[in-house]
Amino acid sequence: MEGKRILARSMLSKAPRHWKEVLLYACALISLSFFLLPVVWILGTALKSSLEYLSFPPRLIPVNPTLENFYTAFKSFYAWDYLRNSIIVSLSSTFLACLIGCPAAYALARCRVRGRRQIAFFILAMRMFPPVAVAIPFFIIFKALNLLDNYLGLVIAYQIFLLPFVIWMVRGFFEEIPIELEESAMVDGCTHFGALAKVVLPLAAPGMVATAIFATMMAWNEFLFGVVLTNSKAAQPITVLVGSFIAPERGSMWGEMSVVGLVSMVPLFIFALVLQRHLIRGLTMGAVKG
Amino acid sequence: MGERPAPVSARFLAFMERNISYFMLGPTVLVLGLLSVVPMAIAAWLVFHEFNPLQPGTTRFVGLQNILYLAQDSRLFTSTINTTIFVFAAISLEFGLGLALALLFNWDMPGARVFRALLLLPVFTMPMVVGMTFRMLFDYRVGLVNWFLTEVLGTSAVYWLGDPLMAKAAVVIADVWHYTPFVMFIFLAGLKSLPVEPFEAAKVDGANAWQTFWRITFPLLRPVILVILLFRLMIAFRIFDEIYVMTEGGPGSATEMLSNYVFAVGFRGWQMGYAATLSYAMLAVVGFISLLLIRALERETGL
Repeated sequence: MEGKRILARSMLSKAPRHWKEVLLYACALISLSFFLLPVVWILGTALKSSLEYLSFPPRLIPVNPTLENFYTAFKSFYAWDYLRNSIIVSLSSTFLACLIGCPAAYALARCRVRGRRQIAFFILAMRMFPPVAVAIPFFIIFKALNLLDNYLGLVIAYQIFLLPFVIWMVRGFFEEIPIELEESAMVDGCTHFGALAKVVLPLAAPGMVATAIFATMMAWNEFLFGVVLTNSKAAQPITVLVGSFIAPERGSMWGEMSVVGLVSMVPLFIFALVLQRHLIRGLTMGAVKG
Repeated sequence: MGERPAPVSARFLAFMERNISYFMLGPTVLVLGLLSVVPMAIAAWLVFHEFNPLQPGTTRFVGLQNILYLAQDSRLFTSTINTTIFVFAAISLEFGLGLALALLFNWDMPGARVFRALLLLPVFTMPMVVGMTFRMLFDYRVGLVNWFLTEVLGTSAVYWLGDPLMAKAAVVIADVWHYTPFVMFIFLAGLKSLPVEPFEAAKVDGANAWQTFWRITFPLLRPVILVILLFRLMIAFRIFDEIYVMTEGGPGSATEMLSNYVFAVGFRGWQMGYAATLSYAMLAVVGFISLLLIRALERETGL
């Protein structure tokens, strides 16, 4: 009698827990499928022939996978040129932004410059510019300076959103490093430069790496400046190639479109995968502390 | 005995050290200053002129005409409404779902890290690709969504991209897919950084899950919520890429957002005078909303 009651009670306390766990896993599965489905879909469509991807019912996995879309995308649409452009422009513009931005971030975090608050506010305000507002004058200026349709023009134009971003993030990382560390290094005989190199930079490095990664992603995903400031595959990033598929003659070329989409995503994914530890640090540090 | 003057290199280094802040800030101020002041000045000039870069000979001064036209521009009105509806709907859904998912997945379960990493995939998808993918998924005939509706759920197919209302919904859904994991992730980080004591005290006092959430979790998360709200608002308001690829503002101008409209005026109609006027109007609105939020943020977090 006693044993039965103990058994019943222990079963009661187990049942709700199991039920909750099942619910949790069910939710996890549903959300995972929702958030992964479109990506899997692109992958599938890239491998389908036009017969398949325009047929009903749609299948997630192609019945007769084919590589013909890849062939068309690279041969007829010159996907590789656009990819090359994206790589060059993203990496160069990020490099420039970090080169100029990191010292500025340090100065804003540490030095007592006149007008420091105004400069900081100005940089923050620039993050709020809608890019389309800047694109119009940019077009006019770059046209006059003959900077349309080349790498330099894009790299310069991208600074308008990369620089404020880099400064905003890196400044936060510098501010987290207690100034006492630098001061004690200088007391021990280092110059300011030495203290920078030996103490500050190693501590801020992970944050700067995360920032550089995010900046590269922002530059890679940029479309508006790409489509406005270029007009040929000489310098157009791959985002513009993706956009070209809304033209009526290309509108139903889903296979090739998916290949281009895939090709534009894969470098970024690999980039993110390899450096994900730094990314997560950057995501949480930058946002949570406000 | 006098001292020897310091060698050039040492003097140079000393000069650098004293003025280092100017060297560090100089390039930034120069670059950003040039990139913002000059364009804004040109845009200001444009506001009072008619200017078509393809026909520079037709440039003329028009005074306040562009500004006055703002008031009677119906397409401006619709795009503003569209943008507002979109931002409101998308962000509410993202925050609601994101918070719910964060609370749900805050517990440690095997494979949690892999699961969360996979869930971040949408965040790293290029906006252009998001638009392109959902354009395919929402296709009336062969799209996966309609297939799901008709074959799995048994309801009728929806004319997603052809119906003004459903197109708005489609665009919101695409954005929710794109950014909910991001919001979820930020909330997760925020939840993990909350102090344990209030929750333990609540447990001792016998609070249930709902009370714990409403009275403790939510108030403690306010700063995080505001930061992410500001961030998402600024981005959502200037949405462009996804619309460009997914609906091109259609059907008609049902999904035309502010950025798309300004782009169309400036780079399709080539009326850069009026486009610049629109840009300034847009800037004013964005600036105003951002200022409000920053103020709220400063109040909350005491910055």
